[in-house]
Amino acid sequence: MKRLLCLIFLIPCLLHAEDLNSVKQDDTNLWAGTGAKDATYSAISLSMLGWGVGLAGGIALLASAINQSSSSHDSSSCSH
Amino acid sequence: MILAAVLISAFTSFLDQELIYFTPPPDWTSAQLSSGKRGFVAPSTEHTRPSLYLSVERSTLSYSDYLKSVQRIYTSIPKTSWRKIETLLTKAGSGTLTSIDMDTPHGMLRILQLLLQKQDRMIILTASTTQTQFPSYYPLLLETFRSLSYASSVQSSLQDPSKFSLLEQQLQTAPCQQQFARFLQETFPEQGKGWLEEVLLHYTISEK
Repeated sequence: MKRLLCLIFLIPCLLHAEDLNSVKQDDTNLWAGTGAKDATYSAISLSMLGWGVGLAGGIALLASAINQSSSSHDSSSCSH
Repeated sequence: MILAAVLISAFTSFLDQELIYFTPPPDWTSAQLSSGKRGFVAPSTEHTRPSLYLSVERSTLSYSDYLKSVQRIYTSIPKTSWRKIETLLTKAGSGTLTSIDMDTPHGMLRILQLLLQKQDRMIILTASTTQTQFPSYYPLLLETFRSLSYASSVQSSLQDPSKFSLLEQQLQTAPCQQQFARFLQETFPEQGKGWLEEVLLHYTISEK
């Protein structure tokens, strides 16, 4: 009885296996062109690296200014 | 003996790989995203620097259907417009030059995108600028897009084929990536930065 039930459930699955393959093919075509969109976002991200470079430069300048300020403070405190 | 055979076969497959590359403007520098993707950026003091990015997408669609698909994707993005500009002849063949205008938090951006089909792949060369930068960069970007090249092997990509033996000799020493990069820069200056990056990328992959 169990075997018969399994067979009954298995037959529709096997019949639809080919359909699933065609869905997969359609799906590949459905995603066609996303490479162009991804490329656009990658190019924009590269353009925006300037923000990161500017920010890093700003932080470096600030760090250097703080360092100079503290070292001049230290030296002045040493001279006393 | 076996190691030598393995090395030779690895380098043979590396040398047999096809190359897709372009020549970026001389003063543009290579840049890498955190994802590992590489491109080139212009030497600009502005926060948004013009950039160039090359990628490849596999597609079973016909060229016209692929273009329709691209158009559908861009027109579905809010505050974005897409248009075909012209057919552009490059060293790799003729492709379609398209333009995308995008309204982003950083301002209006103008993207130039070249789509070129090679067998079952679409070669996508993309340039990003702000709308204000675009007019001054357009001639330079067109020249760069025209430099897009395709070679079926490393040897066929060489402007001076007699230098191929130097490349083979160098590969026999199994150089590390830095050594190989230096060798390429010194031996093949005429090939340009785009070619060098592409060859180095294939070499790194073959090493792994």
